[in-house]
Formats: sequence, structure tokens, C-alpha cells
Amino acid sequence: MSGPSIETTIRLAATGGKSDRLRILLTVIGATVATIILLAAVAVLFIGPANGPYSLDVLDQPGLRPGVVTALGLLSVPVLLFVGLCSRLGAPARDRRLAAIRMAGATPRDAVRIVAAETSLATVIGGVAGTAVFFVLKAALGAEPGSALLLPTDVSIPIVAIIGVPLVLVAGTTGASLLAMRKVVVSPFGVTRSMSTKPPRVAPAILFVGGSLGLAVLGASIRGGSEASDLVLGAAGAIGFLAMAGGLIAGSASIASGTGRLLANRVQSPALLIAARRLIAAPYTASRATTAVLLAALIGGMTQGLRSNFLTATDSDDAFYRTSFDLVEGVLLVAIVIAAASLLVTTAEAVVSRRRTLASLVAGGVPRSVLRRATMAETLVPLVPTMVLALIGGSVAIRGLTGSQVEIWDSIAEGPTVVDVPIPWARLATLGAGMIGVCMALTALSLLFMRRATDISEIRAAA
Amino acid sequence: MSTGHVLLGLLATDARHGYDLKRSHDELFPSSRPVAFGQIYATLARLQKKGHVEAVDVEKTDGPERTIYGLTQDGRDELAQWLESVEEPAPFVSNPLALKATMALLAADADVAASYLSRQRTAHVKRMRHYTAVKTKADASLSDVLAADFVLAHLDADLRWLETAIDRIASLEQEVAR
Amino acid sequence: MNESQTLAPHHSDQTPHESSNPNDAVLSARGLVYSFGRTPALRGASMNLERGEILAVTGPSGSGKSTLMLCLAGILQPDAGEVAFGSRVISEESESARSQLRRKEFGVLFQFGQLVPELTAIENVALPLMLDGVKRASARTAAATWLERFGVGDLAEVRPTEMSGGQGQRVATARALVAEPKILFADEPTGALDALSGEQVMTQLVRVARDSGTSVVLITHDARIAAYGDRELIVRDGLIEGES
Ligand SMILES: Nc1ncnc2c1ncn2[C@@H]1O[C@H](COP(=O)(O)OP(=O)(O)OP(=O)(O)O)[C@@H](O)[C@H]1O
Ligand SMILES: [Mg+2]
Repeated sequence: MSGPSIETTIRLAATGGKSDRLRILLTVIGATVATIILLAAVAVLFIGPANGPYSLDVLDQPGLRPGVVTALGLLSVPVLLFVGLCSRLGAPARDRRLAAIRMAGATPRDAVRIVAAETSLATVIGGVAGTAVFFVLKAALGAEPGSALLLPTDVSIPIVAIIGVPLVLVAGTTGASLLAMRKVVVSPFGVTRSMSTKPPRVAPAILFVGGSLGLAVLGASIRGGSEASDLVLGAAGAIGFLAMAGGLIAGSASIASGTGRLLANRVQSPALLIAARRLIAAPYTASRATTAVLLAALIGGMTQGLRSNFLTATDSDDAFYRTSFDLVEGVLLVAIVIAAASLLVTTAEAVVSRRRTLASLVAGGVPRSVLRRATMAETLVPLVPTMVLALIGGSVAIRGLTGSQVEIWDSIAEGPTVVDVPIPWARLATLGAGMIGVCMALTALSLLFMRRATDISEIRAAA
Repeated sequence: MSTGHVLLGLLATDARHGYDLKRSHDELFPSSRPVAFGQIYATLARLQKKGHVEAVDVEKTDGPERTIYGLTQDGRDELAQWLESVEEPAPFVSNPLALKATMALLAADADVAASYLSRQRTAHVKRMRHYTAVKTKADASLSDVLAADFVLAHLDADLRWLETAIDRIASLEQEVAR
Repeated sequence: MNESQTLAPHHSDQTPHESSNPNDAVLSARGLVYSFGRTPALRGASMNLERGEILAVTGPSGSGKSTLMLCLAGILQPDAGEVAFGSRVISEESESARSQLRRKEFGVLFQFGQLVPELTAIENVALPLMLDGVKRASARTAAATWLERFGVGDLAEVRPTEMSGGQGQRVATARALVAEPKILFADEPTGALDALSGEQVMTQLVRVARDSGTSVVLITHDARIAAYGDRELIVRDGLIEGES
């Protein structure tokens, strides 16, 4: 790599202030978690005939293992998104430093490279830490001779994977960070985030609705006995899903600024007024934080749709699908928590980077509780409607794909009969409430920064 | 010959008589000493001899007759030339304040100097407060504000010089003590 | 209580600052001590602020002016000594009580960066009233009056990021005064402004404070700004060294 040396980059990263250290710490944690997840996937992948038996069905049955590996692989996606988001955190000190580097003659690419290099280094550290934690856990959980193992702690991990996983991660996080910095312009006079304040409205809606209609058409044609090959059908399904996901994510900024506009000219509460104005001013900040959560909600909604369909179609005494779906939901839960960690980062950043204003507001007698409520509202107000849309949209799309009725064997009539697949309202509501709860909890966690950020000494510090 | 040029400037907009000129002058420069009538008339006479002003009318009032003076083309040229030329940036080295404070700092006992300087500072501050009050009055005219600003800037410069001088002496003493 | 009467800036004919009787002090401090870790910032400062008085506080950099102001305004709690606001000893009150006091009785003005950048000027000024439960519409009406008083009425719908420093400080001053505080605390309010903008902000601040009888604690190291005060305290090494 040309440009600044590794040594320079480390020094530049290490001399940063509070938020720099926070960012690096979060990147390291993200990389650690991702390493553990990927090594776990490798362990499942390498379960051989000599290993086992396992008390978990999905691990014990070889046919189900590819599903587990895929699920774990998917689980690392929100982690990568999280790390990418971290690298974008607008720590003012870093921004000033980057501007100074540009002033000293570095090119814009050099500046971005420094950011990416910092992420890569943090990922390497996280990779090493994650590998260590993984093997400690493996040794600790595996010491149970005789009984069936819960996890594949008896699989030996090939050395290629031990080296390969961190390398793949470094590539992934560096890519994610470059992607996140794409819209960030580092000039000698400062760092600006170029974004249109008017997010697109129509195109995302078309994508979202179009994607779900496409899935319905696809489902109808499959049920109608389509001749197309599995590959074509699979690709069509994937395109439908991606259209929905893309529309949802692109539209979330518009929903954020829309809710902001709706509230700004009506609310009586100062906290809501501040939240609404911030949503209007920076709708993308809100939407970037929620990307991973919304993806989880969409997949969650689809899972519920599938679950309802499968469980209606199969014998209720057969626990196999039920446990499998329970397991999928467990993985989903982990994904949701990881996704919500992005909220934590973004909200914490929103607090830390505004500390001068917040501190002077508190000095002027604005209660901290008002500022806390404003910060919570800023994250949650646009998230709730978008998440409801994702959950319902996901399950409706699956209903379109799989049809709203299934044929089952009626044991009384001794013949096949067609029944309606119920829309799983209760489970969707539970999932939605749970996700909102997790998001609230993690957003609230970021408010721990509020007291420090509103310390009066922040008024002295140059903005 | 700055009074002459000020009179030329005052006549640039309107022809006026001597009494009027004195009033305008004193209003415009409230902080400088009022000009004497004698000086106004002597200056006008000199300007007239040079051809810069001329008598344009005589105003008859109950009292004495008043000659109204107006600017000639020569006078206009002279005014324009004066306004274009730069004033010699004159340091006020002969300012009594500078002399006294310097001697206090250099020659007097430290306590005496400190007490003098602090009283001097108080006097300056009082004066600055007065002019600030003048210019913040709701009915202050632009010329009031400009005049007050001018005095304030000079008093402020005195103060800064005083404070820096005190600090310099203090740091010198520290160095000597070390 | 008639809302419009309390919200609109009122003009009073009585000249403030008639009496200089020390019992007339709105705020008084006795023996204030405050340290940042091991750095002493105040070492026993005592002072009085009289009703309607504009008190300039000057002194060299690092002498403790800002710390004094933060203690007086109940933002910092002194390590020793007390601050009395009327009959209340605010240095002994809880943070939430002091926070409410600052919102209702005090106005605070800093050098810059105190406006919420996402809120428009009028919303920034209306904020303290809304926090006190005034309805949005009447808070905005009052805010508009105050913006007008500071000559920035035409900036009502503009956000602070699009204003000049001087315009921003005028809006900030309007916000600090909108709740009609008894005392305005201003720490280098013109520190980030050029000479003329600074003069304009100060002229308006002083006129409004005199009209409404608000006392002002004005921290500055600029003698020209200090000259806007009725009296000047000089702080040196954490102590009140003199008065002029
Ligand atoms: N947050 C802080 N942490 C540590 N020390 C501080 C802090 N704030 C102030 N100090 C110290 O306390 C002393 C007084 O500071 P203060 O800010 O009150 O001075 P000041 O008179 O307002 O100075 P200036 O004119 O530069 O604003 C100084 O020595 C300063 O270094
Ligand atoms: Mg200060």
C-alpha cells in the first residue's frame, strides 16, 4: 500500500481524542465478534464422521449443517455494517486531523486511506483477540466427556481457516469502511459529508412494493407449474428480496425526514421539537444507523410468514420444523442485537459530537432528561414506523410467494383439504415489540455518554 | 493647518457663516477643545486670501450682520487633496501619561508605582465608561458615536500599553530575582 | 397572570440601579473556593451584584473569571464558600433545583456554540419558554418580539449555521433574555466577534438589560467591553483583586 506508512497511521489513530479511542475500540470489538462467528461457522463446516454426536438437531443432522453455516455467515453481515459505520463516525478531532493532513499536502485518497488503514489495523487486533477468545471458549465448553456435546467443540479447526478468517474480515471491514467514507469529502478546510437533504421518496417505494409484487407473481407462477429452472426461479426470488431490502433502506431516510416534518411544526414538547428538527436536517444519519435493524426486521417478517406457512402445512405433532424455526429465530435475535449495536454507535456519536451545544444547554438550565428524550426520540421515532413496514412487508411478501392457502391431510375426512394460512399477527407483534425494546435499550445505553458530554468543561474546549 | 481643512470640509455641503461653522465643529468633535470664534474668523480670512473660500451672501439678523462663506473650486481641490493624502502616523511620545507612567515604573518605589498605575487605570476606565454611556444612549447620533469610538480607542490603547508595561516590569523583576 | 405581559419585553420608566445599598444585592458570594483537580481556580472570592447593575469582571487569562461566573450561576458547586441569590443559598441546593433556577431566573450566554444548530432562530429563542410549559404558539410570538428587539427579526426562520457570528450572538442573547431572567451571565459574549459586531451586540444587550432591570455579570478581558458596565471587578489568581 502506498501513501502513509503503517507507523504514521497508528500514530495518527493513537493520538486522537476520546471519540477516536471509542471508535477504534468499537471496531476492535466488532472484529472480535465477527471472528468468533466465522470461526464457529468453520467449526460447523468441518464436522466430520468422527465428531459428535450433538444434542442440537441442526448440528447432528449433516443435511442441516449448510443452513447453519449460511446463517452464521449472514450473521457476520450486520457486524461488518457496524464496523463500517464505526469508521465513519465523525469524531471532530479526527476530522480536524484529516483536514490538517490534507493541508499538509496529502491527497483526498491518502486521507481516506488513513481512515481505511485504521479500520484494517483495528480489525487485525480484533481478529487476533477473537481467535484467542474462540479457542478459550472451545476448550472451556468442550470438557464434558461421555454425554453428547452441545456445540462442535471437538472439531479441529484447520490452520488455513485460522489465518484465513481474519484476512477475509480485514478485506470486509476495509471495504465496508471505504464504502462508508464514499460520500465523505476530506478537504484542507474540514470534512464534509456530502448528502442531499432531500432523500428520494418515490423510487424506494416503487422498489419495495415492486419487489413484493414480484415475489407474489413468482409464487403464482411456481404454483401454476412454471417450467423455468430452479436457478432462474432462485435468482428471481433473490432479486425480489433485494429490491424490497433496497427500497426499505433507501426509503428509510425519506421516512425519517417525513416524520421530522410531520412533527416539527406541531409538537409542544421541546424534546420532540429538537428530535424532529434533527431528523429533517440529517435524515441519512438516522437511516444509516437503522439499516441493519431494518434488514433484520424484513428477514424477521419473512421468517414469520414462512413459519406460519410451514407449520400450517405440516403435522402439528412433528416438532422438527418448530425447533428449526425456533433456532432460526434464535439466530435472528442475535442478529437483531448486533444490528441494534449500530444504533448505539450512532446515538453515542450524536451525543459526543454535539457536546459543546449540549453542555451549554445544560448550563442554561435545560434538564438533561429533555436532552435524553430528544436523543431517544430522534432514533426511535422514524425507526418504529419503518420497522412495522418492514415486518409486515416481509411477511406479506412471503405470503405472496407461498400463497395464502395450503393443502393438508385432513385426518377426519381422510382426504386432502385446503386451509387458509393465518397471518401471524401475534408473533409479528411480539417480534416488533421485542425489536423496539432491544433498540430502546441500546439507544438508552448510549445516553450514558450524556453526563460526560454535558460536563461544563466541554464549553471551554474548542468546538 | 487642520482647522482650515475641517472648515473646508464643513463648507463642502453648504455655505455657512462663522457662528454656524463653530457650532458644527464643536458638535462633531465634542472631545477636543472648542474652537474660539477668533480662530474661526482668522482661519476664514486666511482661506479667503488663498482663494479657497469666498463670501457668497450676508445674512441680516437682529444682531450683527453675518457673512456667509462658500467653497471655491480651488477650495474644493484643496479639500480633495487633503483627504487623499495620508497623515503621518504620529506616535504620542510626548503624551504626559506615557512620560509619567514610564517614570513611575522605572524610577519610583514598586508600591508607589503600582498604586499610581491602578489609580490611573481607574481614571481611564471611568472615562471609557462615560463615553460608552454617551454612545449607547438611544438618541446618540452617528457623529456622537464616531467621536466616542475615537476617544475610546485611544483610551483603550493607553490602557493596553499600561497593562503590558506592568506585566513587562513584573516579568523583568522575576528574571532578575532568579 | 397575563401571559403576554410576562413574555413581551417590558419597558419600565424607573431607572434601574438607583440604590447602591449593599443590602440590595441580588446575588452575593462569600469566600468562594474552587479547584480543578489540583489547579486552584478560585481561592476565596467574595463579591456582590446589585439589582439592575451591569457588572464587568475582568482580569488576566486563567485568573478564574469563568470559574467565578460558573459558580455564581450555580453551574459549578464551589468547594467552599457560598453563593446567595436573595434568600436562597444556591451553592447548597441540588443540581435539579439549580438547573430550574438557571432556567427561570438566570440567563446564560457564552462565546459561541450555544444555539441548537438544527433549530431555526425563532425555535431556539422559544425553547426556554417551551421548557417552562408555555404553549408553542405563544412561545413563538414572544420569541419573535425578542428577535425583533435584537434587530434579527428577519432571521426568524434561519438556522444558526447560516448566520454570521454576530447574528448568532444576537439570537443567543435574545434566547438568554426571553424568560426575563433576574440576572444575565455572559462569558466573553463578544469574544468571537469583530469589533463592530461586538459593539452592536453589547449596545443592544445593555439597552435591553437596562429597560428590563436585569442585572448582568459580564466577563471580558477587553476594556472596551468592560466599559459597558457600571462597575468593574478585577480578578487575579482566583481572588477579587480590585474594583473600579
Ligand atoms: N476544566 C478544567 N480543567 C482543568 N483546569 C481548568 C479547567 N477550567 C479551568 N481550569 C483552570 O482554572 C484556572 C481558571 O480558569 P478560568 O477559565 O476560570 O480562567 P479565565 O479567567 O476565565 O481565563 P480566560 O480569560 O482565559 O477565559 C486556570 O488556571 C485554568 O487552567
Ligand atoms: Mg474564561
